[in-house]
Amino acid sequence: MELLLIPAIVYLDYSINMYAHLPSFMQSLQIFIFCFMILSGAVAVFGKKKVSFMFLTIFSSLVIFIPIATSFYNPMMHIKPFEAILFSITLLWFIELNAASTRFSEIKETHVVKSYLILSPFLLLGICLISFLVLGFNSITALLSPKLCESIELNSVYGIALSMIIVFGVCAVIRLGAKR
Amino acid sequence: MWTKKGIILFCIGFSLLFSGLVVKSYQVVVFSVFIFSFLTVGSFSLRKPEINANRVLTNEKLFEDGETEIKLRISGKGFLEVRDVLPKFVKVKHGTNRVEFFLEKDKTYVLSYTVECPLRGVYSAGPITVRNIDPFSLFYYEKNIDTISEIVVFPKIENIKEVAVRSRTPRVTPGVIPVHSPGMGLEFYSMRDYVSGDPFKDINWKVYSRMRKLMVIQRIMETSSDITLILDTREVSGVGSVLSNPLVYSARAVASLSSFFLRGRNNVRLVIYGDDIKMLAPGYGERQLYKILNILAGTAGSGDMPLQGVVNTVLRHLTPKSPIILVSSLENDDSIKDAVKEITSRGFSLIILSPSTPELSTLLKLERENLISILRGYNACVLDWEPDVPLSQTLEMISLRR
Repeated sequence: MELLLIPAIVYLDYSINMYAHLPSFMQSLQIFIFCFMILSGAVAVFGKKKVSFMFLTIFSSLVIFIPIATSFYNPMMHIKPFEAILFSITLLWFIELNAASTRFSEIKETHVVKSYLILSPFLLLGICLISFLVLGFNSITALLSPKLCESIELNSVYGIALSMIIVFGVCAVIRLGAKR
Repeated sequence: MWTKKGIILFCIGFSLLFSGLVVKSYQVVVFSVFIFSFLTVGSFSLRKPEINANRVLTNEKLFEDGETEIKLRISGKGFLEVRDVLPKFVKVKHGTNRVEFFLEKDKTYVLSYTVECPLRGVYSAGPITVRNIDPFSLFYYEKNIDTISEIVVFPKIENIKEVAVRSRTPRVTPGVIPVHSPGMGLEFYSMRDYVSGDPFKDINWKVYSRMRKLMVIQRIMETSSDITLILDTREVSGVGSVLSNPLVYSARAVASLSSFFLRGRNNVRLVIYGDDIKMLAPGYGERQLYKILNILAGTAGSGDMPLQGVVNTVLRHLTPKSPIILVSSLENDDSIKDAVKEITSRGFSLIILSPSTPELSTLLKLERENLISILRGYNACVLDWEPDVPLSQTLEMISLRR
């Protein structure tokens, strides 16, 4: 199942960053990295536990390296929200499935895997809802005041960081309250 | 509590958010949002556990190398990771003492596994550590259930066929119960068919001439009234590896000898010296064997009491001229010669069974041999026991040494 996610991750990563005006050496490096991503992703899925962990780290690092490297050349590059969200979901899910398969291969309890597979889609839905709340928080606040909608800072990555602080701060307060 | 995975993801999320803000990468920041959402959902999906667990052992008392099955019954809800804490020298033979499973409400999970105990001792199994983990294994609640079960491992008993120990002053009523079993003795007990291996001197030739059939005379076993076993548990006797040191072998020898003498309905007294002197009053039967095994299971090498101290304290309590078996490595005790001299001069029949320490240097070996020959000179029967050799084979040497 994880294997299906690798081409999707690589494609999304490519499609988000393809519009960046990069120098030629950077473009060829990017292509090389995409090829290496496929390879390391495949090893991460099929490799042994230790090898798999190493390649999973390499794969994830490469995936993250591309947007960071391109941002140096195009700081305010073309934003593709839909692809970025889809990319985040697939990458996160790929990492989680990899970790889960390693974890459950040690346990050898089929009942646990079954329960995990039943529960995890619901939790994934929860993850998406919270993430959308964070990403759309600025749009909600813009409804209160049209001036906020025009704010450049709020519509940039700093706006997301601000909404992260608010939303996750509230979540943390609720969680701590529930604990007591 | 955070798991390793949770901490790593938090660090990655934080560093991605930071670097995303620095390079102004929308994609990286969005990914960090998802990581934090992942952590949030993980923490919300975790509930404080209401877990109950209890442990049942099929055998609480067993002999060395024995096995016992442990069953844990766990009731609770959610993703649980259970680990039954086992003592160091208890090995899991079948199954596992650590399991992760999903438990539905009002259901019970039974974890069953078998352990092997290669070394005598009193061990405590437990507590049971139960972790309630969220489905993504990011956070957990841990609970220690203090269900402690005691496993008593007795030293291994070797089957001994004969020990040529005889009291010089047999009591009027030997032991507490008269012996009605065949064995070494003088009085007639019964007759039986000749079996290959029986000594020729036992064949009743008169009966043979009458019945044309080989018959053997059996005699009543001669008991040796009170027998005293002295076990050296000084610190020096525990020197060596945990599974192979003089104390381990000594404990096995005392257990085997006690079993043999008690089978013959003798009175057996046990004296243990190390830190101080512990004395078990003489007794007979299964109950006495059980008492001795329990004491042996709990002994550990400690202290440095000389044998002379034991002789001064114990000798006056013993039946005059009764047999004494001392099980000691004979190391680091300057008083041993005088003590042995005193025991034999008072008319006690002394047998010293000395398990040799593994990996002794040549000089120490020579010293040991020298000491043994000196002790033999004091009319003590000293058996130098190589633990690789069966105990019964070493004990056969008693009749030759006398």
